[in-house]
Parts: sequence; C-alpha cells; structure tokens
Amino acid sequence: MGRVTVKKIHDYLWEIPKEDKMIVPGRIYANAASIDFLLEESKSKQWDALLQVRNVACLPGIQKASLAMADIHPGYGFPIGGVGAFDVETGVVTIAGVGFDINCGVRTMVVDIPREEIEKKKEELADALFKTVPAGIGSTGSLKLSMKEIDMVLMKGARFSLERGYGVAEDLEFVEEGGVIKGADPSCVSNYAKQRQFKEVGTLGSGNHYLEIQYVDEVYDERAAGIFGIPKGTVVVSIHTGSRALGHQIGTDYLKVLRRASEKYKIPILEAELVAAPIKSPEGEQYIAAVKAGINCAFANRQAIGGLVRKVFRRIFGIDDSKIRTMYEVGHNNLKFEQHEVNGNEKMLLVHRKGATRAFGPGRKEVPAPYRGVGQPVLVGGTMGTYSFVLIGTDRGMEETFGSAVHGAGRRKSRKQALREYRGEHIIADLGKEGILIKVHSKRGAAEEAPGAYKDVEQVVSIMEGAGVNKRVARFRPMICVKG
Amino acid sequence: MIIRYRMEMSFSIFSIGDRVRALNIFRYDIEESVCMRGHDTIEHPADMGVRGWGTDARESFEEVASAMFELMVETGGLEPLGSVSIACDGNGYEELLIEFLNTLLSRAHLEEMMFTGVRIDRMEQKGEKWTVEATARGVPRERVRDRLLTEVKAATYYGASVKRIESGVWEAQCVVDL
Repeated sequence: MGRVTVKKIHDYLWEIPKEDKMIVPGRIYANAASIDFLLEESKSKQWDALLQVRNVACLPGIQKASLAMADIHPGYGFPIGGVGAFDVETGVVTIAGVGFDINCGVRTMVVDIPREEIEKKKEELADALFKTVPAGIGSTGSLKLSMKEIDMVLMKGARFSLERGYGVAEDLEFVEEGGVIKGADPSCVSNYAKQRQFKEVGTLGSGNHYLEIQYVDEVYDERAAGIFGIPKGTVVVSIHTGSRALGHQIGTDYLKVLRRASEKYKIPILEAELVAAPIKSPEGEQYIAAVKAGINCAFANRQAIGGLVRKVFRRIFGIDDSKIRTMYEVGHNNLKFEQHEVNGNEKMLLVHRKGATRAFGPGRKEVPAPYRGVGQPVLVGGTMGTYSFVLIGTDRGMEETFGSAVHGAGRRKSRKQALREYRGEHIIADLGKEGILIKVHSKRGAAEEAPGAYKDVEQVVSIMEGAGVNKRVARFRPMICVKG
Repeated sequence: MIIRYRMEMSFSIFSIGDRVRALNIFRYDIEESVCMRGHDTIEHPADMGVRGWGTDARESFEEVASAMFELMVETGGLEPLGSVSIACDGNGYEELLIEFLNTLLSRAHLEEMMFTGVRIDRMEQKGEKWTVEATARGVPRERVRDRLLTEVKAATYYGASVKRIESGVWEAQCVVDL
C-alpha cells in the first residue's frame, strides 16, 4: 500500500482528499491506467509523485488544490507536471516549483517553405543546423558578452538578442510576456551564475533539449490552426531549451537561502527540496527577482537560437527572415503573478508551474491579440520519434487548473533502464528509416531519449482533453531532430 | 589476507547490496584499514541517482563525486592535467554533500574542465556547520569533447543521505537533475 490514497472524481481526474496537514486537496489528471502506475510507484516508498502532490498541498497560502497535469512523474519537492498557486499575502514561493532550468520552454516558428522543398535538402539542412546551433555539454554561443552585458540580458530578455541582430521585431509579440518579464533584478543573481552564463547565451544544451524541423501532420481545430497559421502540411521549427547554466546556478544558490528561510519562518519542510520563503519576505522577494532574471535569460536564449535557425534557412533556401514567423513561445518551469478567480473573488496569485505550461483560455489579456479569440497556444514537446502537439487553453482549464497544461510526454522508463534497453546508433538508424533525421552530439543521449523511454504523448494529451482542460489544435511530426 | 582477497573479488562482481552482505559475513575478520570504496548509479524515474561508499564520510563523498562526473564524461583512462581547489560548508552531512557536489559542478563548468577525481583534503565540524576543502583533478573540456555524455544541472536533496550503514561502511547518495 502506498502512502497516499486517491478517489476518483471522473474518468480523467483523481483527488487526494484533504487530510492531516493538507490545506487543500491534491488533484491529478490521469486515467485509470496512469493512476494505477502512480499508485504502484507510491508503494515503492522511494520515488513517489503522489506524495509530492500531497506535500505541496500542505504549503502555506496554497489555493484551491495542489495540481498535477497528466505528464506527472516524480520531481524534486514538486512533482514534474505540478502546479501550485499561492495567495500573494499569505503564501510562499518555493524553489521546488521552478527547478534548476528556469523558464525552460518551447518556441515554434512557422517556415514558409513547402515540405517537399525541405525534404530535397534535408541532409544539408540537418548538417547546417547541427553545425550552427551550439549544443551539448559546455557548448558556447556566438553571442560574446561581457559581465556587464549579462545584466542587460537578464533585464531585457529576448529584446537583448533582437538588438544584437537575432530575429525580427515581430517575434516578441508572440513570446510569452512579450519576451521580457518585469521585475527581474540582476543584483539578486550571483556573480558566479553570471560568470557561468556569459558564453552560453544562444546554446541548446543537452538532455531532453532539442531543435526540431517538423510538419503539421494533423489538424483537430481548423479555426484555431488557421488563426495560428499552421494548416496541415505546414513546416515548423521547434526549439526546446531554457536558461542554461544561469538557471542552474540560481537554483543551486537559492536552495540554501530558502532552506534557511524555511527554518526562519517555521515553514514545515516535508521533503528536503520543498523549501520555501513567504512571498512577502526579503528572501522570497530576492528569489522571485532572481527567477525573473532567469526567465529573461531563457527568452534571450531562444531568441538567439531562433536567429541562428533563420541564418541557416537564409543560406540554404535563400529566403528572407520574414518568411520564418514565430508562432508562439511558452515556458514550462516558471513562476508567474497572475489574476485568477478563487471562491468567486478575483485574486492575485503566484503560480508555480514545474514541468507544466501556462494555457490561458480565450479573452485573457496575456494572450497575444491575434490569438485572444481562441486562447493561448500550448506547445507540448513529444519525443524524437513521436509527435508534438499544439493545444489551447479552455475556460474550464481557467477554473480548474489556473490555466495550465501538460508540457511533454513524461518519462516511462528511467535513463538507466533506457541505456540498458536501447543503443543510440540503433535508435538513430530506426528513426532514419521512418524519415526522421537525428543529429546528436552524444549517442548515449540518444539512447536515454529513445521514444520508447517516454509515455505515449497522445495519451497524455487525450487525458487533458478528456477532462476539458486543454483542447487539441494540431499535431507535429518530426523530420529533423538536433540534440545535445 | 585471504579474506581480504576474497572480499575484493566479490566487490568486483556484485552489487552494493551483495558487497554489504559480504562485509557482514566477514565483518569480524576485517581490519579497519581494509580499503573498500566504490560508486555506482541508482535508478530514478526521470533523472539519475549517484551513490558512493567508503570507510568514512570523506571517502563516500569522493566516490559520489566520481559517480556524478562519470555521467558527464567517459573518464576511463583519462590522466588528469590540472587541478582546482574548492571549499564549501553546510549544516549537517546532507547539506554538505549537496553543497559539495554543486560546488564541483559549478567550478568544473567555470574552469571549462571535466573532473576525473576528487580528493578531500579536510572535512571538519564546527558546531552545526561542516566544512570541506578538496582538490579536484581533471582535464580541459575541449580535450575530451568526444567523450562528453550528459549535462548534470544540479545535485538535489531528493533521495539524499549520508550514513554509516550496518556493516560500518559509509554511504552517500542523491539524485542529480539531468
């Protein structure tokens, strides 16, 4: 028997009833099979995502419910796929709700070139992207910065890269927060973190980060797909990366700060990583300002990579930069101050999304004006060999999840198990036969990221759609995948 | 000597559980000076756990650091070409372990190096606070570009523990975010 019991709300939603020290219930978007998997994992008493949902429900100031999206798996303090919203007056900010890759996210750009033309030059394009976009451990970016300029990156976000000639001004309208979040304070970021970053702006990283050339393989919502400019057959580029070393170091630095703050403010530490500070405390305010700096760093990073991608297309296909249009960019490891309705009242909340994507429904001012009628696009990354999805938020999602969605497939097998079962060269060869060209710096990385090591992304998406929280718009199939 | 030989053989073949059981069997014959240390990785649903063990906390820390860097680079056969000194502190062993591993990660990144081994020069307690001073040896990252594997973002408190287990062996472990 695991340490957590759940009760069914409906076919796609399960609840951990409020008990003991829980302030709110836990709610998990899952089907019968995936909740059984989580309960089984809970019995191990080692890795327990459900217990993490329950622990988050005990944090001061949490509102409505501790939530987990359908791609839930064990994280650090928060489960991956976890969403927690806190009252700004009485609530806390926790490092576990953001993690070490601040504002890791996805940008998708629409390419105005027919798929057949891409297929003709696929090898050349893949090689050029692999050479041009720095990826892998310790890769360095083409943006050479001084320490002073790093502060500008943290203040200006995507605009910094734009001013350096990466991308076009129109990009920013379609990046969350317009590519720069207000309230970032570089003085809250250690020099160590800045020193680690000043060569890394414009780098992809490694692990599950990727750059993919994809095409729209299926459209589920013609109207929304039309508004987003992604009819069937459209070629797109998706960039999945985050704030790189700066984000890692902010996490490391503040882990210690928030451990001390938990003790100082007598916030119970239910799991060692689930440390927190009151939002309105010096420690909490400093951490939030540092996270915002990390968020801007990730915006600058994806803007720079977007610029490099355009450069490659310009060289190979001779097209103008305007022929590659940013469809949307959204993060999935974030803190955001957002207005939501709680018990009939509008409240300002601090929403943590760890491995979960913001998914606002129609009408929200945060959604770019051209999309506001249908809702905010949600970019859900798949695996190297499967699909990625574009979803939209719904009104029900606004009520139930503070406007949140899944962020990816979620792992099914550990990396260790994947390494036992798969060989990188076989994965690359097998996907090659399916027409998916893989370029990796580490073959071991390819084995760890094998499609079979992940849950079925279609199932994860269908759970959220079944619950009425997100809605499918389109499905992308990869043609080229570049990884670290 | 015979017992020591038999134990070393078993260490090379079996998992840590078997090794600990072997230690329990031979415990009454083991001298304090018998050198037994090593490291491995632990299954985790999304990332990876790293574990080190040795005759004291110091050795277990050194070993867990090796386990972590072996996720990042194929270290086999690499001769270190340089070294850096690090120092950190923490309240209690667990915090010290996480600080130690994260300091190594940050320094390796900053120095553009991959560490192939870490030696703890000093580990001491003053009141609540523990401090560590260590020397990390390694190679320039550019020299081992073809051996690089996966980036470790951070050492986390998830699954973190530092303890003397029944057999007298010290074990240190945690999950790292990849």
